[in-house]
Amino acid sequence: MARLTFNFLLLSLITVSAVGYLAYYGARQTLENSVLSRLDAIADLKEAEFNRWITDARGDIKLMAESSEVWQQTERLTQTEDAETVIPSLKNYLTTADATQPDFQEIFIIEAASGTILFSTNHNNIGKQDTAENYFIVGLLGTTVSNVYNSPTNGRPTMTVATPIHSNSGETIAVLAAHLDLNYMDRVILGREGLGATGETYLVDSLRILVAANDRVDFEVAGADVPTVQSVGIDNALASQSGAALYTNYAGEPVLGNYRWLNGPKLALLAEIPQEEAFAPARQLGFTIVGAGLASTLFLAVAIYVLARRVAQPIEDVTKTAVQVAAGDLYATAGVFTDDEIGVLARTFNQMTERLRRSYDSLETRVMIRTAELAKRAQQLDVINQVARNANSQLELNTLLPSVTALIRDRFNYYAVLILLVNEETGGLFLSAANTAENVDLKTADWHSTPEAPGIINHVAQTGAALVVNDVRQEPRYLITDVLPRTRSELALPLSIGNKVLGVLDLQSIHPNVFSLDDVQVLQTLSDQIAVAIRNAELFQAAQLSRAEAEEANRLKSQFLANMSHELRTPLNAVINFAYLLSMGVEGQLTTGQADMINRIQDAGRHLLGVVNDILDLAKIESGRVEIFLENVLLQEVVKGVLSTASGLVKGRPIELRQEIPADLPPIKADRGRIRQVLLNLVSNAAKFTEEGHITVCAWGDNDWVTISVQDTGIGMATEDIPKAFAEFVQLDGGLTRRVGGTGLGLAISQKFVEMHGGHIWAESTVGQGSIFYVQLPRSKNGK
Amino acid sequence: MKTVSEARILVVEDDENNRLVAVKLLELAGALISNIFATASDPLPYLQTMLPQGVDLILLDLQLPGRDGYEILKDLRGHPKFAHTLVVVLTANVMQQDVERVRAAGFDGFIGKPINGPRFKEWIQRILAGESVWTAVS
Repeated sequence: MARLTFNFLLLSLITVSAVGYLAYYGARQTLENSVLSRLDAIADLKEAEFNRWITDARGDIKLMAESSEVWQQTERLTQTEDAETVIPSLKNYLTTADATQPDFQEIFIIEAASGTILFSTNHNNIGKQDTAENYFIVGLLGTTVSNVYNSPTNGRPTMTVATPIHSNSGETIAVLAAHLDLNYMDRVILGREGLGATGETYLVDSLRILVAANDRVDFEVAGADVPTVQSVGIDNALASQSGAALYTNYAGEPVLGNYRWLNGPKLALLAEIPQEEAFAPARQLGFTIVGAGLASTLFLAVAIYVLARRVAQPIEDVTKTAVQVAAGDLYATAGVFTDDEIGVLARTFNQMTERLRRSYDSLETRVMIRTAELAKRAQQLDVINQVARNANSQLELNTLLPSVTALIRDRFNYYAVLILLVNEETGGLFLSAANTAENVDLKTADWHSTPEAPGIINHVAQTGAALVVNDVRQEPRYLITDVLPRTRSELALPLSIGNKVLGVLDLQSIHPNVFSLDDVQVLQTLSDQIAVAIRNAELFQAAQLSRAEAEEANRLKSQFLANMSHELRTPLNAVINFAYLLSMGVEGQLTTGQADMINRIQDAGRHLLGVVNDILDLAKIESGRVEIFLENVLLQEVVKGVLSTASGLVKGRPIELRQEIPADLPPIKADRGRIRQVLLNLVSNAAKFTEEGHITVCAWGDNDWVTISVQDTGIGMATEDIPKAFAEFVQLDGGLTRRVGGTGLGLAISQKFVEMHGGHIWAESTVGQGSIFYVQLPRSKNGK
Repeated sequence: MKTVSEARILVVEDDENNRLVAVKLLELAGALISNIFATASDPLPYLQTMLPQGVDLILLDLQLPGRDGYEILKDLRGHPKFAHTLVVVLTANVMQQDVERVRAAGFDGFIGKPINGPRFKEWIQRILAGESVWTAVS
């Protein structure tokens, strides 16, 4: 706006100046022409007047010289000495003439022959020599007007007219001269008519001395140093040129000058008017024009400023706002409410800014939301990882689920995080773990539901699909509860493996619209992790349980066996030992019948004891609580001991016990006690089922194996029955068993012992032909 | 060191049959009937009141009403008078873990039930001679 005004001012000033100057210049030109012509006229006039004056002076002096009075008297003067008589009449004439010719200051006559002033109206000069001046010499030849010169007599600029005085005979006898009164010349020249206030005309002689000028310096006053003057006009005039020009005059003042050379008096005539005066009207005109122009310019400038302000203010507002907006202040608005284009511009601009701000705001909001979402995602993924870790490290549901709910609520700051599990029996849900805001009192035991129960969580459990409730107040399925009164939004996610819903992860927030679809996806992943964790935990629990059950069963079995053992041994102790005591005769001598019965009681007791022991052995073996200790065992010795023991079993029967083992059979690596037990069992069995014949124990070996056989000549058994013989509690002939005793566990136990050695046990048998049982043991120690 | 005939022996056994079996077997082994004592429960009060001079050997059942065999052993070992009495377990608890527990508890011997009558005398003799006898299964 200021710029606009400034520009306008500049333009206006230039225009006004130009107009002013042109007006001034035009006027000046006109003035110059008119002044110069005026000067020319004035100069002409002065020149003419001056010339007329000179001519007059010449004429007058010539006339005077030619008057008889003068030439006669002069002739007399030259011829006679009688000046006294001549002079008065001459004097009379010339004084009269002088008087009539006011321009003649001094009229005098110079004798041609002597150069002596014969007569002068100035008596003082009579008799003086006056030949120095040109007027005398020239005057001898004719009428002449001298240059202006410095009068030697009075020291003043002087002009002298001179003319020869001829005698009657025509001889030049004297010169009549008259000094001209330059006052007249001055009057003519210095007259200012038509020259305005400061113009002047003046004369300069060829010596550049002002001879007629207002500023003329009298020679007298100046002494010898008469100043010379110089100017373009003077120079030109002295060069015999006439003309007019603008120049600086002798006084240093710019003037309009007319100059000319006056050939007669040999003077330069200059008529000058100072430019200042001459062009004053032009200047006046210029000033007036400029003044008027400036005034109107000023007025216009103010008007323009005001107008521009009115126009520019809104633009400035808009501009300022634009700058603010550009600087990032999107809340800046242009406060322009006019209805013109500027107003429209401002409003459009404001709308644009508004849109910009909105888009920026929304961009910022979007970035913020996105950032928050990413942070949330990261957090969710972190939680998922943690849950996964927990699920791997924590297999107890009672510990795992509370830690999961705590973790989720801690990380996401939900109002409540619940995990409900499906009750396998009822199909309903029960609250397994809950982590809620501190002031919420939630007892897990109180939360149960049936499959038909309403509510969001049940719905999810039944459908297996996640359900988001953005505002529970708008959700008819939402069950209002006093326990969680502040819930506004809820996300229930199924905890499922495949199609099987194990439970529901329920998240509640006190803010509406908390759960986005992305949340649902991510949290569903979390739920899947939890489901896997639950499944793992359940499997682990089941495994734990079955292991515990197995262990418990085992423990109970052991306990049972121990109890059975104890409870059987206690009465057996009495039975066997009372029978023993009786057989020892502590209560008196027994009859044969009594002794036999007592023996039978003892045998039965011992048998029962054997059963108990075998059962315990088998149980021990089966539970893996039996270890074997390998050592060098000489079979010859072991078999010898076994047969020795067995000899009691075959007492009274025609059975030969044989041992056929090479003496050089090297010892084997075996558990001595177990091997003895196996062989005793085999020999005992043979003894039980053999009525007569022999029982033979053989042994042989190769590089890898040592084989022991126990052969009897007993009742034998069918081939298909052989495997049964090794089974527990199986005896082939119930009747016979009863007769021969045996627990039915011996072979099973023996088989296990042999197998613990890394060996094999098998049998060959024919019904009625007897049986051969083989035990093959590894020579080296590669048994279990 | 006393022989069977010299030794004073206390049988602690709650089952009457077994108490009688033990007593009779000791008798058969050579112990004097006047030196054989028997009680059905905690022997300490019995010892303190009836046998203040103590006995040479105590045959102790583990499962007793009131204090069990282990507690009784602890009481005896802690008693100034009876601390050095030989205490041999006579029990039907012949499982491996029972034997180990008895051994760890500091008993002087272990005789499992049913008692091997024919060998009983020898064991008593050895026990009285200061030998250790462990016969879980006879």
